[in-house]
Amino acid sequence: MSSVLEAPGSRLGWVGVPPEVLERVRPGIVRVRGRGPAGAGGVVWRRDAVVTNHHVVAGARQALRVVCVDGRAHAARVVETSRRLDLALLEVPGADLAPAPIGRSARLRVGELVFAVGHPWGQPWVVTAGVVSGIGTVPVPGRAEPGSYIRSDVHLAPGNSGGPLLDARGEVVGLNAMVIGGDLAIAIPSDVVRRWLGTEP
Amino acid sequence: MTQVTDTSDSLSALSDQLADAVERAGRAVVQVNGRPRRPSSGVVYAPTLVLAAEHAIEREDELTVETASGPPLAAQLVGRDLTSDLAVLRVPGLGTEPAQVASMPARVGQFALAVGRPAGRELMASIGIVSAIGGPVRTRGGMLDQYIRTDATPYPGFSGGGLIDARGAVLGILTTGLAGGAALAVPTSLAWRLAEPLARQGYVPRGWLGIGSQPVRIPAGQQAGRGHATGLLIVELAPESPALRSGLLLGDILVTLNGQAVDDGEALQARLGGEHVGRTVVVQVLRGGTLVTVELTVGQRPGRAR
Repeated sequence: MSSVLEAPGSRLGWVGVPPEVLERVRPGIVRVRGRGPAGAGGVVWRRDAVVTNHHVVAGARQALRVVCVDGRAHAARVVETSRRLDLALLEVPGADLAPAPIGRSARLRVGELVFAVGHPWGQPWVVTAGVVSGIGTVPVPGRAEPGSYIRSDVHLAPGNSGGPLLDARGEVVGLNAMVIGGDLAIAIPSDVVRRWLGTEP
Repeated sequence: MTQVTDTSDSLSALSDQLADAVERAGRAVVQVNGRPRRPSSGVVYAPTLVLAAEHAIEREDELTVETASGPPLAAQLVGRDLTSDLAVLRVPGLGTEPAQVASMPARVGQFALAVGRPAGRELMASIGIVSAIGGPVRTRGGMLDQYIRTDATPYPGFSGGGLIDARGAVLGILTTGLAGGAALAVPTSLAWRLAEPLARQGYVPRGWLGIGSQPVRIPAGQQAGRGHATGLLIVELAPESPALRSGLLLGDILVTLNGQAVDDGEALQARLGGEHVGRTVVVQVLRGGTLVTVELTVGQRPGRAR
């Protein structure tokens, strides 16, 4: 199951993501499994905590598991969610996970290379590649400063939610959340996750 | 330094280069407000002149252009061409440096980024490769000599934007308006060449003979000794057309234009570029099994613009 992670699966596949770029981040990416069949992605924030999307854990609070790339599975529970930011923090009691390298999304530039790792349509550990298409902003109720989100042209499908958007260094710069119009991928910036949790990873 | 570091560094370097390319090219990419609620893009190709997508210009008044900053600038439509889906806008006071043109024509397989400024003045980009180079192709208005096809995503509002190379030089002008929404680009050399008559006289002159034709196979005994088995059967002669005036007849089989064999109508049109308007060409037709030579003066194709 883990070997797929070495096989980039999109139109930039021919560029080749150097294996060591993925190798560095790979232990920090998990699959979140609830009652549904497809599962979703998640990013290891601390040794016993994983960040994913709110919408993938909504309604499945009792029976969550996080599965590491080596196949180990751990029981997890939701400790905090934000419907507005579409973020959820899962606690994985007693686990000793490997935190993912978290990058600074504020540094992203339009046109730079990004990679998504997820489980589209339930296919595990699929890597797709593209570029940052734009940085969008949305007004946030009750705050002067607008919220931001990352737009990219990486191929996403159901099962990519909550999985990481990586930069060329293999650092997590966002959490993939949704697709607009069939081909515009939306990710929640890593800096937004950082602010929401109020902590560095 | 280990090889491992080399490859990950080179990926970062490539990533930086692509972002630099988008930034550089993006300075010459503007937002074009030429239809309700759906802005499109344009590329500054000369001082105060912008190439845009013809299909996205639905009005001539209240036509504006927006750069990354500053107020919207009033633009004037100076020319439009259905065949290439290109329009030229003049924007007085536009202080933007013209885009850098790729020194080499696009090559199949090379990196290509689609760059547009579709809404809120924000620069957007997507990546792919040059998938194919094709043409001549029949489009809304006539025959387009050449096009570039890309698999980079054309986001809504990208028409009129740039297809750029990994150094930020423009390979072509993007449009989804030429072939059923497919992401195509008019190659820079062609687009810049068409822009010149568009800016000067508002349209692109194209040669016209005024015949309708269909390809036919000519039986061995009726080739007038030429040994060439294909030609264009003339099935229509437009009123007031150069062909009619020259004495060509319905049923003639056109076999050469200026000494070169003519096998299909698209190739014939492709050989009648605007530079031929007003010039004399020599055609040969088979009439009743006999080769007849006719001189005619190429006209300007009517219905050049809306």
